[in-house]
Amino acid sequence: MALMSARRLRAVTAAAGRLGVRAGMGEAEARARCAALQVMEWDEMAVAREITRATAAFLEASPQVTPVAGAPGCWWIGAHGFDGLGGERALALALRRIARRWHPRARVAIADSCVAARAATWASGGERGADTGAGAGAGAGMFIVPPGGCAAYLAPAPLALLPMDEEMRETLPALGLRTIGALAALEPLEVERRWGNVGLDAWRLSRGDDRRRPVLDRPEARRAVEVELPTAVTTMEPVLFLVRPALERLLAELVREGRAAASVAITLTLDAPVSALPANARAHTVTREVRPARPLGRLAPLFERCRIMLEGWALTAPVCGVTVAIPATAPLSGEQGSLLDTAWRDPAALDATLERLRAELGPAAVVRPRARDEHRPERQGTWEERGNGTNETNWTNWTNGTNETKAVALRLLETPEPVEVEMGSRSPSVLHWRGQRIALDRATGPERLTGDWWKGRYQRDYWRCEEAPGGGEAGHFLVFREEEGWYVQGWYD
Amino acid sequence: MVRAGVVRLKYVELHCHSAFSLLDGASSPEALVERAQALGHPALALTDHDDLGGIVRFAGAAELAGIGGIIGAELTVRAPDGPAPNHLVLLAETAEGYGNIATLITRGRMDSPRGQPGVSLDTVARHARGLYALTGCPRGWVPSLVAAGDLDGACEATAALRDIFEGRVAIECWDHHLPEEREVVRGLLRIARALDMPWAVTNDVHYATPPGRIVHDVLSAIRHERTLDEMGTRLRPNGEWYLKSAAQMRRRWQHAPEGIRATLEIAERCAFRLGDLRPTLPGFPLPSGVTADEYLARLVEQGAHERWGNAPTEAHARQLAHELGLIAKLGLAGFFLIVWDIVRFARREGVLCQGRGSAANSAVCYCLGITAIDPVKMGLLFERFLTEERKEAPDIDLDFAHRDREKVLQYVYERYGREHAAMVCEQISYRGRSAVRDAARVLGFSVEQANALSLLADRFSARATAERLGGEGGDRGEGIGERDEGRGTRDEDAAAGGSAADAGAECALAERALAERALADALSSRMIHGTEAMTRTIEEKDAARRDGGIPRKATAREKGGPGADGPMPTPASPVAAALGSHLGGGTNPSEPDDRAVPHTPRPATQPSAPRSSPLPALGLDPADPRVRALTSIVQGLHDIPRHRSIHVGGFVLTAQPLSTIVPIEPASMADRTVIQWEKDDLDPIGLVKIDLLGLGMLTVLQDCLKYVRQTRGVTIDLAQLEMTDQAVYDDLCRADTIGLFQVESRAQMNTLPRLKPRCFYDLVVEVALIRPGPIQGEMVHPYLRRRAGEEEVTYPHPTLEPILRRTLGVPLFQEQGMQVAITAAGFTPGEADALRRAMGHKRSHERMAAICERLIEGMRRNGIPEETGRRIYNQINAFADYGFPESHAASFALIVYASAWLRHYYTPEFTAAILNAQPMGFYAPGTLIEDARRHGVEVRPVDLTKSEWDCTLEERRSSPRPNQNASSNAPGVQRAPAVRLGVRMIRGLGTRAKENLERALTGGPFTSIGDVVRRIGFDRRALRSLAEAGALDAFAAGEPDLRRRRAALWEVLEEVRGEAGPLAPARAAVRPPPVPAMAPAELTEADYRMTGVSLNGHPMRHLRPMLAPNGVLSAREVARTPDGARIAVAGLVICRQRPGTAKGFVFLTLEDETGLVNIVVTPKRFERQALLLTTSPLLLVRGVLEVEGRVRNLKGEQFRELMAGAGEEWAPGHDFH
Repeated sequence: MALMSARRLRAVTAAAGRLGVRAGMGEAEARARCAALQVMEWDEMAVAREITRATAAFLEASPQVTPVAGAPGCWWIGAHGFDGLGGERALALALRRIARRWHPRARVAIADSCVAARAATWASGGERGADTGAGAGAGAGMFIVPPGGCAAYLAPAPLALLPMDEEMRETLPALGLRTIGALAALEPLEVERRWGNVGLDAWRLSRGDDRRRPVLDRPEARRAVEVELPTAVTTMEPVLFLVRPALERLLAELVREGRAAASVAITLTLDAPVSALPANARAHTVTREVRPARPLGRLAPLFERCRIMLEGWALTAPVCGVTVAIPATAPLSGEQGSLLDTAWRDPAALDATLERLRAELGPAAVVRPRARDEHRPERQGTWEERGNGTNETNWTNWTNGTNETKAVALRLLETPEPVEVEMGSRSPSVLHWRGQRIALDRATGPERLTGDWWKGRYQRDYWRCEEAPGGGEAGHFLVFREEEGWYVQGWYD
Repeated sequence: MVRAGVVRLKYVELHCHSAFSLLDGASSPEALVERAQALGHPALALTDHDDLGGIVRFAGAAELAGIGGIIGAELTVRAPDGPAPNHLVLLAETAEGYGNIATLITRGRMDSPRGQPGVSLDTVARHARGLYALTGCPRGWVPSLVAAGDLDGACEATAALRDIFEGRVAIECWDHHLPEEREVVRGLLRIARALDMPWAVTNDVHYATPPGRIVHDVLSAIRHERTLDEMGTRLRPNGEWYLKSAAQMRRRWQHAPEGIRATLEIAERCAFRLGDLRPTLPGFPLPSGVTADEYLARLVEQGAHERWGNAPTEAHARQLAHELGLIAKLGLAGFFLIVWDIVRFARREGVLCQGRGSAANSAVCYCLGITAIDPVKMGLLFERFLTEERKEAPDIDLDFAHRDREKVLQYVYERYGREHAAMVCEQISYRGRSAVRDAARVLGFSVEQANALSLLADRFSARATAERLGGEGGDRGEGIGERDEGRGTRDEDAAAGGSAADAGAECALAERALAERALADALSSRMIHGTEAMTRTIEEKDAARRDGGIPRKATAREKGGPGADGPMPTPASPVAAALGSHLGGGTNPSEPDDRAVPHTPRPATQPSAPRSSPLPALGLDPADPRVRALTSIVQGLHDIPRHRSIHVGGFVLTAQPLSTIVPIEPASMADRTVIQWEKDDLDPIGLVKIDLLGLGMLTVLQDCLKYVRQTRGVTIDLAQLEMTDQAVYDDLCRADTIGLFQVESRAQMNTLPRLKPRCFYDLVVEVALIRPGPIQGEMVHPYLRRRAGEEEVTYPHPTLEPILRRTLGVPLFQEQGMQVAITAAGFTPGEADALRRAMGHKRSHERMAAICERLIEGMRRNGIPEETGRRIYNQINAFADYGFPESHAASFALIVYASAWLRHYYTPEFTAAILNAQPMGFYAPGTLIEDARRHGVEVRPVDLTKSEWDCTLEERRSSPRPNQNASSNAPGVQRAPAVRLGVRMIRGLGTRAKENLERALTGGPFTSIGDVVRRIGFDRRALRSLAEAGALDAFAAGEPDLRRRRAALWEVLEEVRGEAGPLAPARAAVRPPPVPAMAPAELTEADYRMTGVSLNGHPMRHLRPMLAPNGVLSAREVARTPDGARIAVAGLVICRQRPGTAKGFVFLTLEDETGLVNIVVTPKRFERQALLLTTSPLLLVRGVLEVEGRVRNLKGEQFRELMAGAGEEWAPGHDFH
């Protein structure tokens, strides 16, 4: 089995791998190696769900767990402060035990830096992992780089283990520098003069200086936007002008994190000191808060409330600065909108809603129609899961290159239904379908569709059949014959 | 069943595309004609898209088939206000109409971007005379307006066309079982009725038979650069676009038979046939009052005086008179004057040139300076060149120094005008590799898989490749639709054989073994010697032209005459049958065409894995439908034209505008125009071709002479060489011929020590001997044995002794075959030439048998017994076409001697010249340099302080090589210079590097790496290449030798980055670059990687300390080892060959630091280790040494791959060419 994303295999099972199927292959290429290969779409949701589950599981062992961005299946995990809990070895064992719930040959390495830890996972190997070397052996699939030993550990390793610019990777061996240690031994100034900042980044990593760190649950950042006015204003209009984009930006960030604003605080910096303060006192601030009835993730209603509040705010001095903040947030939740209210056209809210639907009903529950460039009517449209970035259809037609298509039937069956047909002299005369006998007045055709000879051919002769006028309105049917059977593709009614 | 009294209506297809509608037609013109003939059509029109490239083949096939060949084209027209270019079918009614089609296509091609031809409607209007037009396919102007619902606009467009063609236009209708077409046709018929215009039915044919649909789909995918999966509705919805019978068309149009009748009426109007064309050569500008014959005679007289001095013998005079008389009789004086003029221009420009081929049989050509061989002195047969019976201009091929040939080409364009001169095209057709690659691409396989598959491909034949992929017992493409049946059989076999597991395992092992063997077969068969392969290609091409690509004759049942109603011909192959019946195109006209019931498909069955298919060995699963489709596609692509290229040198000239004879189009090369016909298309029309060829060795000679003049102040005239220098022949006898013209191949080098050439004629024989003709005729060994005195010199008959004496009784040259026919069988010279040509092309067994009988009968009359006669016939038949004419061999032998003489006495200059003329010849630059160094030439590395783009010569400090003896008559040999390698030797510098370097050098030599970076204009990668190749070592002179190029690279990287910013910390004192020195092997590796050659040591040098103690000999030691010794050698594989004439034996050449060793591998051993032998760059070989005279071959028994880590993988080899 293999998982595919953007027309390329992204992950393959070990069985498929044994037959030569590799990640990065196209489907045709992979099938050429294994005709029975089962290919499934890469499911971001499923992967994200499993990463979340694994992350949660790792949290049993350490409070600092960060899935590595862009590398599903890899985590940075904090290993500080475990001396009283059996030390790093115990932590590594625990992590390995957890990880192997997902993969039987999962590897764990502990080091001062992420770069060394990742390099050490390769050194640790699989079941036959080496536990010797500079680090303390911890068992198969585990490796512990001694504290302070990152640079020394990395020094003999090949440069391939170090993330760096491709050009630099090509040049270093030509200079005779083949190990991470050789790069680390260079003067930073010399490195910068030749490869600039990217070179310096690589050089720092070669010395075990890795800024990446596993983190605790991300502390909520202060959500505020401060704006200083070039000249003090005496009316609220310029303030409203500033508040809207600030609020929009803050809400966008919030929604991305799946949260909504429970309150909005607007702080105005007033230019003139009030009389109660000393004459040389500096400008002061006044803050007021808006609290919607329930947390909101949409700009329009929230800004409307802010506008009302600001318009009712009597200024006592010119305003020279505005701060918009969201001091309280809550998880984003669905809310009933109005179809007719344009303010409700809120992509963020839609996203949030669809996310919830997917979460509740499964990833395939939310779909959208998509046109496909196919000759067979039932394949000219499909439902695709929303969010799958597939290409739009190119409707270039073989005849004239126009972007037109036409409906072959008003009601198109997704799966053509078998039908019994009585033939007249040259064309169908009667249909027996869904328990009805439909006498035909006229049948025009055949229209021939054949193709896909390279993967599972089809061969159809279509007839457009017109029901004989009877008691009711005459129906029009699109039927076809394929191999020995007749099928209804659709109808007009 | 035919009802009595009913007159059957015939049908003519007026809209038909062949494969020359590039990537939009799937059948050859011949296949279409054969199909039309089989269906009983009285005529057929060929209407390719803006192309007349197939019409000569089409017209020839139609004439043979006895049907009318209507010439036409589907022109792309830009209609006023039209949304997009549209199509218009034009048919030639008269010769003027044909000229107009050719002119319109020329304008469409020349005035539009390449690949997007199109003409305006105004242009069409100006060239509408003599043409009959059809409104075209659904992409025509009128149909597209109807399809858009603009009936009024369509009416106006139709009226406009009627005005343009003055009523000679019909509305074209089609029915491919598509509703949208029927809708358009309804509109078209309304217009026809409204305007009272004729309308005609066509099927807009794109392939001859239903199975052609596969090929058409594939070609469409290639055209759109998509996979089949991505094509969607770009592919046609069904397979109805094939050539249909009259009965089918009648049935489909039974409601409107006038559309069928109209096709016959239009066909009758289109009476122009291609044979009506009469092109003539342009007249040569002559002095007033002088005829061409007189002027030619005057020039010849003048030339004779220059060639022979004041005393030409009577034989000379007689020969000249004979030739001039014949030339005058045939009206060819102008042709000779044109060729003379071209040669005169080349001489004036200092471009070395020489005529080759049979022109050297002509004393006139010799006197005009076209050729360099005196035919009278050599007794060459003029009739091999020109006979009265031939009635066509002779072939004159001129070789020019290849670098300067463009000058000559442009002169011809300017002299005669681009309206009258153009080059001949070469139609590039699918061969094995290209077919496999494109098939893999459209099926969605990866580049890696395509590469792996192409390893299995026959280099020349897609059909042979398809057979190979299908395997011996494989489906050969029948796979589609026959899947389960095969698998069932295999399962039953396994079950019947006791333990299923055991049977399965055995089966798997057997399959694997067979697959490996098939892989070896595949690998070995691609190692066909180039000449033999070319022969095969020519044969296949001839066969294709002859048979229309259809390997069998139409049966009487297919031809059927009125049997157009009878069953359709079965497709050409079971594959086609299977596919045809499944692809919907396969409507069998024996059944009612429009029946509702489609054909019953065959049951879908699984095939067995083809037992000897090599596909499983490549990791491909034969059960996959795409893998099975691959074979069918490759087979279908066989010989389908893919694109058009320029012929290697053919030029045509005409008096009338060439574009009225054949369309001209711009070539891919700037300033070149080509006609749409290939060289084989010219003879039937009577167009005269002059081959202006480029020859690399002439460039070498030209440059070498220049270098000798510059370095030693010696001017050499090659025409004055005596051809008797024994020191030069000594080199040749030693097979010391690397870099020499024609005699440097492995086979030639093996022959030279046996033949032991001591005079010029020996070289003529040597050149002619190693050719497929003499080899296939088994004449090589008899000749060599006779020459060595090991066999008595005998003659088949005493009368033949004068003819065969100089080749020791063994016929080697084409002229000898002709002379035998003249002397022994009483043929006239013209008949003898006709015999040679008939033998050469082997077009008809019947014709050949008749000629054979006539020859033997003639010999019998002259007293030669029949048995002897047959033996003689067989001998001359074997090499009739694939052997050289003696004159051609003599022309080449001149160049052989000149190159050998220059290489012997002026080796540095010769080395520099041949390196600068690369790519050319047999060996890679590395081998040439190694050889030069073995001859004492000092070769210096690329050094940007001294090197230019080309290799140059520098003063040498040490003494010249020992074998340049002072007693030689070659002047200046003692002052041998050294060769400085040029920057051109470095790989990966980009296309503009030469220009940039030369511009930079005009500002003076480079002074530092910073100076280089600032002035040279190379990008970062190219600058890195300079440093890695050691070209900047001189700027790191303070460093140890082995650290220089890394130190230079270190500095380059800094300089390329530019000045540090103003806030950058100041650098402390200059520190030495923190880079390690290179190991010697690393240095060699870098050399090979960057330049393909190392002056610091051969890769083998690094392995020698390990190999020598283990008894592995060097090439130098092998030269001292006796016959029969069991030895081991190792070296870089610089050459792999498997001549088609060698019965499966494979020849390898290994190079080490001391020389070359020849290895012979038996077919059985090769089969076992095919992959190792074809892919390993460095080999250790053990075997038995065979010594025969000076020829030493190691018969390889054991082979092992070596790895020196010294760049061996970068050493270029000469493999299988």
